[in-house]
Amino acid sequence: MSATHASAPAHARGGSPAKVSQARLATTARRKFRVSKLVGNLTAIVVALLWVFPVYWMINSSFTPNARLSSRTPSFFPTNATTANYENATDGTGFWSALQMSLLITIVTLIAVILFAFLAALAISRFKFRGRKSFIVAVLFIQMLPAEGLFIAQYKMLSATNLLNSVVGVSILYTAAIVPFTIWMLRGFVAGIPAELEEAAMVDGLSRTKAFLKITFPLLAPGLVAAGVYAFLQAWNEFTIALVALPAADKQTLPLWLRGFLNASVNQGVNWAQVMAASTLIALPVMIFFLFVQNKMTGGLVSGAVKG
Amino acid sequence: MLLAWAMPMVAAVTVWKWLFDWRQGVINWILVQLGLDFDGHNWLAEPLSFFFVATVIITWMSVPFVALSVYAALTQVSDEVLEAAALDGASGTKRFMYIIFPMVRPVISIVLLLQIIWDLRVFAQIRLLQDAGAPVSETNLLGNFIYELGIGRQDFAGAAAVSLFVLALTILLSWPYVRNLLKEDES
Repeated sequence: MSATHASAPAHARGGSPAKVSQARLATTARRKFRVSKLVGNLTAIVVALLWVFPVYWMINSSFTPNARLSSRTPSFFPTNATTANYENATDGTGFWSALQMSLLITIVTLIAVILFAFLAALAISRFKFRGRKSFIVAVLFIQMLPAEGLFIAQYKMLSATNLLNSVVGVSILYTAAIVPFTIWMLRGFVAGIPAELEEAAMVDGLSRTKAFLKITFPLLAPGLVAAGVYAFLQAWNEFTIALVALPAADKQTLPLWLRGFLNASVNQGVNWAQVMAASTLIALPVMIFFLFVQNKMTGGLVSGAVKG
Repeated sequence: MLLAWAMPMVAAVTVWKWLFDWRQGVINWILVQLGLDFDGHNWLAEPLSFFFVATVIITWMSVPFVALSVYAALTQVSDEVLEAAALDGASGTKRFMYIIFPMVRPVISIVLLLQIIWDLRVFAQIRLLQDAGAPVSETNLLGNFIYELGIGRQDFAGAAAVSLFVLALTILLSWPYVRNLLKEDES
């Protein structure tokens, strides 16, 4: 930008050698700029490829017959594509029951997380009460506890209350694990809405509840969407807690099922085509869902988490 | 990028295991094509290359989130300010140092904090990679060590002690950022 500014008057006057050399300097600067832009673009493309390739490879492999995958040279395109891998993966290996478990747990967790996180976020950013600050610090520090350290306590609590292998038990644990971060996120959103708006509405004759429902709540909607997406992703993808809380083979969630699916075949040579089909089945719903909401999500995430 | 972030962790690790597979994996194939002796190289058998693979996977999964957050923050930097700085004679590097970077710093610090928290708690990725037959005791991270102590050896007290140690370590590492956040909260 500064290069063009400098070169324009130099050409116009066209005169003294000093000006000419200045113009030449400007063109080399511009060329340098172009080269660096090219390098930048190339790097961006390479990085993007690095990130896309595994996803592509998963989908590609899932459509390739396993016999072809076992050959020494990999096939980069799904020639003689087949859906047999999907059929084999979903057939009788507990896929459907796992899908059901995953869906149930995700929905229950989603609702609980939104409810609790929303109320907690309102409380810590709207009201002044004793221990408010320590509450915020506690929310942050709880996230830092390694989940593995809580396993035993969680396992014992669940088995004492007969909640092992149940949707309710896992949902409680998920909610507890996800709520801190969502509180943190929503808190920024609530803080971003001036309390004066609500007060103004109350002066105009709305009750406190009505002012909240009509003014604050609609403004919070993007934040709630962002928190909801986050909770959905976490609950759907969670593996570690499920590993402890769902020991029964017929009560597994999808991530556990995938691991079992892979390990079952590890000794006699993995059927990678089927395993990739299974992975795609788990990943696809999330990816599709995510492509729809991504824009709101990123904007929401940052503005929520960052505003003091 | 987005795809990588949305990808369920178990699925991602499975795909990477397939990429690094020692007999038919693409990565070995590419390295062999490049003239390197990686035919039948088992990446997960040696602790060092095991951790290399783990690092690649975790980086692959973490970068999208950081990139998106920083990108969103960069869109908040107003063009007017940058233009004003350019008119005042600030070079590209200087504009980055004195204008762009300070403006996105809050986002970078919170992302850094989250990454410290999340990466110290890495457990499942390692656990899933170990399924492929890696030497468990040499490839354990703190999280896996706790799991092994508690669930494997029934040493609950020991597991709890190591957990608290990890908590202390995390707090120690992230303390500057936490204090910054709290300070911003005051104002």
